[in-house]
Amino acid sequence: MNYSIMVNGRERHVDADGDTPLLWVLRDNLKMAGTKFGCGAAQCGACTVHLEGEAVRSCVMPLQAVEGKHIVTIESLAATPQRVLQQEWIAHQVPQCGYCQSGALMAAASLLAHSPAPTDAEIDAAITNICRCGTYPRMRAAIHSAAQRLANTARTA
Amino acid sequence: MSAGPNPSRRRFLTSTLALGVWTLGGFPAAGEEVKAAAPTPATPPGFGLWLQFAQDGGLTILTNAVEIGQGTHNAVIQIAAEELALPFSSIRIAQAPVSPEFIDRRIENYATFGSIGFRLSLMHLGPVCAAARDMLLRAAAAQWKLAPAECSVAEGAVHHAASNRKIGYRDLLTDAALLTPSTAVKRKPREQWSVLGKTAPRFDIPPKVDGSAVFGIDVERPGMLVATVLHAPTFGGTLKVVDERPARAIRGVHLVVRLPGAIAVVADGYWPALKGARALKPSWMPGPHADMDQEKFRRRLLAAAQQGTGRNYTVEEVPRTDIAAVAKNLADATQVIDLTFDVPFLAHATMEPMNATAEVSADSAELWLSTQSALDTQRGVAKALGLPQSKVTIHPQLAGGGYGRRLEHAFAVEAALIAKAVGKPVKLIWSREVDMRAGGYRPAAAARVRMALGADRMPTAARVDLANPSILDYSGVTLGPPSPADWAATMGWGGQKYAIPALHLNCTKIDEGVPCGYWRSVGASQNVFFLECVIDQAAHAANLDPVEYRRRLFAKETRRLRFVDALAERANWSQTPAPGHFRGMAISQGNSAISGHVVELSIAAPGKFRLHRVVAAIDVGVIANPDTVEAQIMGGTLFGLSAALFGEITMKNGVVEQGNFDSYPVVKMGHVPPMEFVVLGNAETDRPEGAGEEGVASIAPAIANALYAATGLGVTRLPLNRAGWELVGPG
Repeated sequence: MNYSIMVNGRERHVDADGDTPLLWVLRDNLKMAGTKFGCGAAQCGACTVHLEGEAVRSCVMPLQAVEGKHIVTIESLAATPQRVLQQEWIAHQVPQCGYCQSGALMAAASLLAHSPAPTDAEIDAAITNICRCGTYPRMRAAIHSAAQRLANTARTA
Repeated sequence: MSAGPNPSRRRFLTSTLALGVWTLGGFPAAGEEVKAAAPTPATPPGFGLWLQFAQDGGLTILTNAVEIGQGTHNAVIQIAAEELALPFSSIRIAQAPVSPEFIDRRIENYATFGSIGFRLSLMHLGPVCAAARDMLLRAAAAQWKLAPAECSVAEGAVHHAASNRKIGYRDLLTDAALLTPSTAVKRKPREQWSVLGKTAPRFDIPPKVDGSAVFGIDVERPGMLVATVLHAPTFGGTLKVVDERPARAIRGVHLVVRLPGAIAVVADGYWPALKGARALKPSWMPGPHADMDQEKFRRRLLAAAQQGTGRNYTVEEVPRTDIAAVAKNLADATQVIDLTFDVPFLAHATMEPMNATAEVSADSAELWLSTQSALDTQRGVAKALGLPQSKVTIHPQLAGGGYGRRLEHAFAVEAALIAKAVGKPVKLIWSREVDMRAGGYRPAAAARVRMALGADRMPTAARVDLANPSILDYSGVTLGPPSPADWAATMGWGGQKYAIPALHLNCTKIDEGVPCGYWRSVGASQNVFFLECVIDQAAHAANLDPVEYRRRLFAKETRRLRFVDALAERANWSQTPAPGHFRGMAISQGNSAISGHVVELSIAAPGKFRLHRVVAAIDVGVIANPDTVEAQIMGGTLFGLSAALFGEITMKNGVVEQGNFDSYPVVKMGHVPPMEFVVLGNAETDRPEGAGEEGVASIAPAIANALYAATGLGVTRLPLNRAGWELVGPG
């Protein structure tokens, strides 16, 4: 069946079954490999994208549920104010293997969009992504740095 | 566990210039007679062409190490930048072809394991880079009619400071390539390093934050189909019968392929393949291990460890082995610490599930995959396809985690067989559940440790009776010649330098068909737990502080004393902790590096503890990139913490009970305690000892020792939640 979805500001037409998870629409149909497969059961967060401004786990989000909706993936994070997160991820040398980082960044971006000065407890509650390489302490530091920079930008705006 | 160099092989450096590209390579080994040879088309195996200078002076350096997150690729670039005084922006790294000339001669393999990536790279690529530098100097000196010693290299050019002249490498390539390479050139001494030993932002990080980094699972080939598999639910089970029609009826499914022990569904994409697999209702023959039961297996391990009638290790296998002395000292001991421990099977659970993309024709095959063992993969695929090894091309990719799991290649063989059956390129992806249940686990193990203490309560002997399945029975990676002994089971005992005068290690192999493999830190992951818990109980018997006890046990080991002191000091060990806080230390001597932890915790409620502080320390000898070493000890600690708190793979009626992260929980952000890191180098050793496996083994015993200090009760079982302990968050 044909579906129309908005991905990173562009209308995309997809011919796939309505029960196809958005993750596989992105990866297999649209050849956008930045969003990753880690578990297929919404357990790990590697597949996190933004749907209508909210972080969702795309591996359990069927295509028919996102028809006509706005989706933002890691490939487009740099076009948002939360690109500061990507810069801080580099400054803090966060990634090791890097496979979980797309999902973690999208989760962090959503957190900062809703909660500009998150506490450690808020970060723990919002970022439940799994990282087997153990980069969590640096993720946390980068989130704080990015939040600080965004706050400074807001103040001087 | 590395193979020594073969003295009958001559080492050569070769230099060729073709199509404007100057290529240099070879393996001069220190202390060996070498002869510099003119370029020859018949390059002996192992003497690969590692450096390629393009016409603009830019360098591509090849490596047979893969990047699995440990930062080795960045360290290789640092080596080239150091020896050749090139800016990072002029250097790119590429994966060397998987062919005989690029095999690492020390390990006789093309594989990444054992925390040896930087050490091997420094040992082998360092001198090649130095030889290239020498040729550039000589080329410039010849143009200027000076002695090379009057010239120097900086910023990609040769300089003559006295006359303020310089020539960029790009203008020296042709001349340099015609010179005979010298193998007498040594790499820069460590005291002169200006690039190595300093933090260098990793080049591989920016693509990992914008989604552009390509992992094995992201590879695309024209005309590619996607497959997923079902495996027999029991190890050793086989397919009895399956009706393929429900899978083929799924839109997008092309066909079903039967393999030994597996059924593959091939489709346009992963989702239809998965739906097809879920639609199948295969009947499986249970095989010989269908009654494998975790509790029964655990009791078998414990009983075998109690008895200790397995194979004794020899003094060649475990230094200080003296079975008679151990028996005597145990009999004569003032006190014997006699403790029995057990730990479970553990999965690696890399974030990127196992996958491989294969294109197979009648006489050749090509694979793209995240792997730590490209050469063994090539060999295994060639054998499965009935092809000469030289006809199988392996393209190792950036890996989403390895931790030793990617030393196995069964999934690559599956991909190749599926692609052969299909006649098109196929990407095989294992679901998380298939990945979790496919074996390759850290072996479950039990150990009875008897430590004899003299009148002063210092050890006079230790007898360690181990029981476990053997990795060597299952693993498909070649790490050395076949060994009669399960050497992996001794890691952490053989290399430790506590003043224990006599050792007796014994191992009974207990096997029920569960495939085992190398799990980050391997045998140290269980043995450091056993050893470090016993040390603390011995310290208690001696009425000594556990750190002071370790100081006495490291009496003459200055490097270890320094390490213990640095860790203890950072952890404020000599200061009384806050009321209700207790500390525990554990040291890992599993590989050549030294690492360890001090944890500080409190008991929040019966069976619940809170981690207030974790200090992680590491001494790796020679450091490439301090930031990367810190990242590794951070990551290793958290990898080990997952295992310590909840990690276990269990079986019931022959079936693995875990499948996804709900049933195999791992540490998340909310579990992370306040952490501090102590990164030490060591000026006395010239050897980088590697950070990749450090931090994993010592976190569990550090917590166990802190719980022992808090309660007087030792922890002898992992994971902690099986021993009645749960981590709770900040109060």
